[in-house]
Amino acid sequence: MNEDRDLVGDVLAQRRGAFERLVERHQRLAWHIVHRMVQHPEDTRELCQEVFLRVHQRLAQFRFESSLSTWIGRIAFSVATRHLQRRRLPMVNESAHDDGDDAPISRIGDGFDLESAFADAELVSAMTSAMEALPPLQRTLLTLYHLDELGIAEIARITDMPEGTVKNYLFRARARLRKQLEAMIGEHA
Amino acid sequence: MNTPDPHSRRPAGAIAGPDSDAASGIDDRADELVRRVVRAAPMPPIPAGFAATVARLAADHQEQARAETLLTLACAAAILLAAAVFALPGLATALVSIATMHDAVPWPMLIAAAATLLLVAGIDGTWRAMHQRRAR
Repeated sequence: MNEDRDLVGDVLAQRRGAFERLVERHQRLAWHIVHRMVQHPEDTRELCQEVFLRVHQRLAQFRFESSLSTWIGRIAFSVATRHLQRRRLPMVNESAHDDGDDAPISRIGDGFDLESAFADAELVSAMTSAMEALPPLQRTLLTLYHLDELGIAEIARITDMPEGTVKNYLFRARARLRKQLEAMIGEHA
Repeated sequence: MNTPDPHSRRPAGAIAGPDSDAASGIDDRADELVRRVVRAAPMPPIPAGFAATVARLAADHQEQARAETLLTLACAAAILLAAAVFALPGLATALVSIATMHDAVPWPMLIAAAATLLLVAGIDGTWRAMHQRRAR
């Protein structure tokens, strides 16, 4: 938090290279959020630029009520959300397959070998495609949780959703991927 | 590069389900595979020099905003000056009229009216203060 304060102070004092350091420190999170939401490299680059330009414009309004990364994450999430809304793309696609049903998966039982499953390029590729086919919100939540290793509370602050809702979406996303995995293992068997 | 805030990191093994107890019964190996897939999913790399480009853009924006603000202020000042110049003859005439009217103004009556208003305001204020004290 003190590092955040020093960095923000340096940027506001217009110290040379301070804003570049801020971007370098937080670009990864913004990039992950925006890319998982929009899934388009060129859009991701432009939107990330927009995110940091907003950060630069509004930094004087940052009151340290959260960590700087959470604040920047919120801006990234809101910029990406607005982009999807402009393009009329749904954030959440509540299809019949997304009912949160998580019945025990019999095939992923004692015989399931995680290492050989992960070594199976076809299976991993299919799982990756399945993840990319998830609705933008679920993809993003999975990424923030598993890749950026953020806690539920912080994800909730970034997405401005109640913690219970975040947990629910994560649960549904993982249930959906597990179903895909079950189907793929069934095909392999 | 951004690293997750150590204070905000979830405790190891935390489960994100609608119900932790229920979720804990789910096959951990399948969850582990999901986790690995999420971590291995392709993500385009951040372009080299992205931070420097953004910093340059931000500086340009700031410079442009400053120039626009200065231009706006200069325009506003010019408009005010022009308005003052145009209004000056009219204002001068009005000032002369006021000066000639000065002697004709019924000052005693105006002062008496102002004093009456002050007196009424004073009585009202005192009455309100007393009323509030009584209410307490």
